[in-house]
Amino acid sequence: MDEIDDKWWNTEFRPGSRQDGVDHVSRDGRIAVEVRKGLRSLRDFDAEILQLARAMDKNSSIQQACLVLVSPTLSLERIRHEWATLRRVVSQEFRKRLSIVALTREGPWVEPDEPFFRRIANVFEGVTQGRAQDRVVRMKSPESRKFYEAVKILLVRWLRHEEPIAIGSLAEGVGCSYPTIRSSLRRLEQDRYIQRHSNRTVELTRFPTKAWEELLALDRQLRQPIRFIDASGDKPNPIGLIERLQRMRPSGIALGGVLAARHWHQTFDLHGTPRVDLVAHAPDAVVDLKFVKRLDPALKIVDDTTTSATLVIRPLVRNANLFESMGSEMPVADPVETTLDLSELGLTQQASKLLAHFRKEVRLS
Amino acid sequence: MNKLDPNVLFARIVSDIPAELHEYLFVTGSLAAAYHFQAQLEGRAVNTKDADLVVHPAGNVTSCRGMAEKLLGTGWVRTEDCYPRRTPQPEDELRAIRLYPPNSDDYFIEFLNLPDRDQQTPKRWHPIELSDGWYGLPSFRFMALTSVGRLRSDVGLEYAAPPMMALSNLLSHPEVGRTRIESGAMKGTLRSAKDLGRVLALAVLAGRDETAAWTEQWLAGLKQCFPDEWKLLAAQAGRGLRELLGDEAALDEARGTTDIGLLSGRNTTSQQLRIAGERLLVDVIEPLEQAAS
Repeated sequence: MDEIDDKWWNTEFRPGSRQDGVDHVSRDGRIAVEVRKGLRSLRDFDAEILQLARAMDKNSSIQQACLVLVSPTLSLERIRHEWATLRRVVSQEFRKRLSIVALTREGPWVEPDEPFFRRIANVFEGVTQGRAQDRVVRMKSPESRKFYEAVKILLVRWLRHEEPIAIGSLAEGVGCSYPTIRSSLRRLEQDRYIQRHSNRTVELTRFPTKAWEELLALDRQLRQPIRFIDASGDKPNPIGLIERLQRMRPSGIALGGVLAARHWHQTFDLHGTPRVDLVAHAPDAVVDLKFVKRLDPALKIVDDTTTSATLVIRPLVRNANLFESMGSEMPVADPVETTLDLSELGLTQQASKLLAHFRKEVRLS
Repeated sequence: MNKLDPNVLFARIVSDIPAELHEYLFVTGSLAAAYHFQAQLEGRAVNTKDADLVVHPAGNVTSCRGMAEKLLGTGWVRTEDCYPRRTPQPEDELRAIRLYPPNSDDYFIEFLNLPDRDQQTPKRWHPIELSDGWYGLPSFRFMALTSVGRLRSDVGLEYAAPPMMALSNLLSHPEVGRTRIESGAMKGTLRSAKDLGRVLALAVLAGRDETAAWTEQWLAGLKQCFPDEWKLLAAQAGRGLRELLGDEAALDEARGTTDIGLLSGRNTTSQQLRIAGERLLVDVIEPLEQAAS
């Protein structure tokens, strides 16, 4: 088992010895935890349960045993079904003393769903790979990401008629080294989009059409949208979600898409809210999606891009989030992220009008 | 099972039961739920013949005896499974008072009683002597909650508020257990799956915006009915539901009960029921637990 870098865990648990017969034991000796990665069969599942039963039988000080399944190959449904079957054949005493934490591709399952075992689930979520709506997602990082983040920061400043930015600040905002930002600026210089100033500042001189078209073409790879559908069977209710978001105000999350467009352009031309677009600030490429389950447990991740999503979250992998603070309300994503959201929604005319609202000279084809 | 329009059934009960008894009665169970959510049910009839009538206040056995005698004297008749015992003991062999209205078997009423505040057992039978022998008046420990915040129907008869019926059912099942229903259309079904399934059905019909307000109502109800235990009860309110959501087979049984009950004709899946349960946990039960901690 990998070393677990979690303060709470290391305070509460120690590695189990051969005599313990399990992977981890609480420091008071009352809780045994067995961790199994990549469980492949129901037979293995049953064997793990049996092993824990033996450990409890052998060591009378163990009051509670917890089986942690990390990234099992088995589906959550099969695990739940097997556990329901096993529960009927094991004694009530044993049932009460056994807990299961399954970190599956469909999301975590904690049985019984109590705070202590949820805490264990949180610890082992750090060990998992893949994605699910109620865990942390680590984004892939295309090599070109730094360049396009630099373009977006410069474009936001240009659209908002802001002062030139110091090259060092730009590197800091992107989250890259000085040589990397120099290389990005050279690329923009070749197309004559930027002007350098003597005080080591830089700014766009015009709309970077070529880079923008690349941004649109590479949107899915660069911004890696995480799409959610409403699986409740009810009619999706974006307005209800927005109201809840405004009450929750999850950290590092800003409104994007149509909602942000209405902030930036008061007469934004679209009736209704087709879906909720959010931007998640993820400077270290890690997005914490736990808030989604609290927002609505009906929201389930889908990979199928042909299905209409109710919620789309786009990680923003750079240091400067450029969120527009809205006081007591949710912040709003910057105009560039907002425009990219509109384009992805197919609202190309509205996207063009939004850019033109900031700079009349911008005309998207 | 018969299908009855809840509006019609409420009107029938009001017309069949003498007016002077109405103030001591309120409707609970599926009929109360179907009446309250008639808009969401879009005119669909309710799959029940059973009108659960709660006699209040708590311990009102004398009143219940008087009511039963009065109804029997005005043409109400006992159902097939309502017959007297010669002695008041053993209590769990007493039969509940179930009566058909005069000249009809379209529906029947069943008398229930509110529990005394100190009742600790989940269900208790109060012996009640009628002219032909002994019957039982059941009182369920958490049924007192259904008397809180009662609503008044258009025909004047009161009925239990859905959130309080939901809480009563939740607390009645701190675990899924193995007890199965022994008779009727749901014979063989886990008792907890039926009652917790009812909670999920109520949540589905109420919708998320409405259930978000349940926490406050639950807290007020718990404090009123269980002033010494409300924190403990609040802390364990979600236990059975969490277990149900983690038990595919039991959840499917719950879906089966809602399919022939309040959610009939809606093609609700187990996944949708699970979502309703998870929403209830996030929106109502966890805030309740926090309020009690």
